[in-house]
Amino acid sequence: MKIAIHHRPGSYSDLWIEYCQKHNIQYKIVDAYANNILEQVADCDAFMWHFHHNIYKDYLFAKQLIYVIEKQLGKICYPNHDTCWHFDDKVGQKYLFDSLHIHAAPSYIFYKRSEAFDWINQTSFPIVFKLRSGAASKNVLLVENGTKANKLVTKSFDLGFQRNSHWNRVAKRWEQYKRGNCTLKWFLKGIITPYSYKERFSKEEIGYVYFQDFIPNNNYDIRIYIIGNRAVVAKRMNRESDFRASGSHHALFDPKLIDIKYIKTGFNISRRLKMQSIAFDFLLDANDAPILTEISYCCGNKDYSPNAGYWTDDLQWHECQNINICDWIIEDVIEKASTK
Amino acid sequence: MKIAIHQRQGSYSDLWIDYCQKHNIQYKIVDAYANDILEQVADCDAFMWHFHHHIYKDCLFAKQLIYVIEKQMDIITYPDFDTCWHFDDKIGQKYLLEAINAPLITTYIFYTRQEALDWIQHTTFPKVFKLSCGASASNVQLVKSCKQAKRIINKAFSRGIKTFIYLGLIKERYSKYKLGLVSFRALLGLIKIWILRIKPDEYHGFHPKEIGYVYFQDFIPNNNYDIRVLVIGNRAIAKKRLNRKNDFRASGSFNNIFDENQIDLKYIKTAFEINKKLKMQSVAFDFLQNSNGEPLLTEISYCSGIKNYKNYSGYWTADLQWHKCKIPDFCNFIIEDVIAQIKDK
Repeated sequence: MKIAIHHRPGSYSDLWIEYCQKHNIQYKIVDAYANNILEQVADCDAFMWHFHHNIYKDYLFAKQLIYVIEKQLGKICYPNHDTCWHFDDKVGQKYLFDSLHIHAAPSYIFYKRSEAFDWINQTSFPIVFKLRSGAASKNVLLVENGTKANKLVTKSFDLGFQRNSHWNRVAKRWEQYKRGNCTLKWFLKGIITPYSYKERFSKEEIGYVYFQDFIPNNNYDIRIYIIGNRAVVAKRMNRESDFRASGSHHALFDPKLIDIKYIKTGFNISRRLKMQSIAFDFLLDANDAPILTEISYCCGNKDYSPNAGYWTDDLQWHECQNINICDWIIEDVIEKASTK
Repeated sequence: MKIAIHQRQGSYSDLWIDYCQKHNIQYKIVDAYANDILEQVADCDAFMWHFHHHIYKDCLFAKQLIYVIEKQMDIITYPDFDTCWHFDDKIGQKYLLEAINAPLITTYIFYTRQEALDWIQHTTFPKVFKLSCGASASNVQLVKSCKQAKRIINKAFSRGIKTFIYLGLIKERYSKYKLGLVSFRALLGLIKIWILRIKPDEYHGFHPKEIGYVYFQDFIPNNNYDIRVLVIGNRAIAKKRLNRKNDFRASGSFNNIFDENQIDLKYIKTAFEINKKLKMQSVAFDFLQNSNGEPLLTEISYCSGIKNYKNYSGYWTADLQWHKCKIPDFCNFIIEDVIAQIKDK
């Protein structure tokens, strides 16, 4: 058994390598960006890469490379294609949820300016505007009226949007600074330094507009991260005077605060999507039923607590210290590779 | 049996609809861009959409939609995901064709400026620079020197490179007009957009710039034509495309030879062999040949232009037999294969 790992410090790969060293699993550090990446993985049983939506290089080819390694070379991949094809792509997710009749916040996509304007004239407000890409509430806006919606449509079909906007970053850091989550130096650095090399070359978002129904009366969301048959959960409180919870870094991990219906719904959907790992963002609809806003194959380390415990798919709670989700991921990959 | 067809005038859909009407096949016109497209196709056995790389809307979501309809709703699609996931995506094609050991021309991709600059210091020129997207030789450039390559690299890692340049499009359309392939009105329409600088048109306007990578391919000398082989199931049609005047590019030259005697069987054989591994419903191969006369692949596509299909005088089958027939209408081949797939299901 040999596992190819693309190493990016600060990503899941740190812990995968640690796991391999601890358990004497043979591994090989490979470079996904190299021209000979297929040769590099040829003698391995699995290929693991925690690719990131903010790294422009990953955005350009990660999904294609994974599809080829999985389907043509027959290797076990993490993430595999089913797990990642819709990552950071809310347009793809809309079609996926609709096709499986998943209870998700209704979303509307328009590829033509005039159709979007017509729809705005007869819809009710507020609604939520999103770009197809963006995590931690980035590129998500509350639209209170038709005028604001029209402006967004015009921009979508005119100059387009940058995925990584400098001023959005400044605003986000200001908010973090106010809440004491970052230093003044970090905030000031955000103003004067341009986007890092890895984020700068993101393509602009242009030629479509995406709206989602606003689900009122939610001052938190529930983030469930399911890996195989285990789930870790966080209740993420909204940012101050904001409707968005994702990326607020204000999360509660007490299991008593999490209604079991979220866990049940999470596992139900996960079974249908057949993903190796999946992070759900749930709100509550008017009937108190969990309603999905979006999904992702990975999650940040602030979205779960290593000391809080986890649920299994039989809805049992397991007290546990030192949870390591990356260990679970690599254990699932090893199991799959050895039963192949 | 009921087939959902997304209709776009001038595309394969015209001929699919003709076929359905002629053969009494039930069909339904659907709108792939509508928010309720999944409901529209839910009562059908197949979904067919000739999506196009020039139409920005199609580039935004066609592959995702097809994946969902095929894999989640279990409806036969044309193209299916294996057929189209790498369409107009030369980066994806590089990995795919290398993985199956297809005779792809040696291709280099760099995702950082420094790596690309280091590479051009010790490589030989000329090389062919391409963007990941683009057909009919658009976004393809011969790079003759290190200095020229450096300029391209600097642009790719700063402002990015536009995929549609109106002057280039006008030039292209003028050549088509001269050959009688488009009307004067169509030519004038494009010039009007360019001069008046009115809002981007439905087709070309909203393609984002290509940025953050460079793609080079080895230049294969002594090729004054390429061979385009289109394989659909177990049939193949082929044409010889002569290079543009004083140019190394043949694709989009509209200077085609349809005589089957001018097509060496090695191309047909190679095309069928590669598609055995690719398992695509339809695939167009662009072949050059190396100094030993062996076919070399430059790129692939799931579809091919339909303007001149009446010029073909027959087709090959996978056993390399030539079948002479009046008009091998490859759109009929496609829909016949889809119908067969539905019946086999």
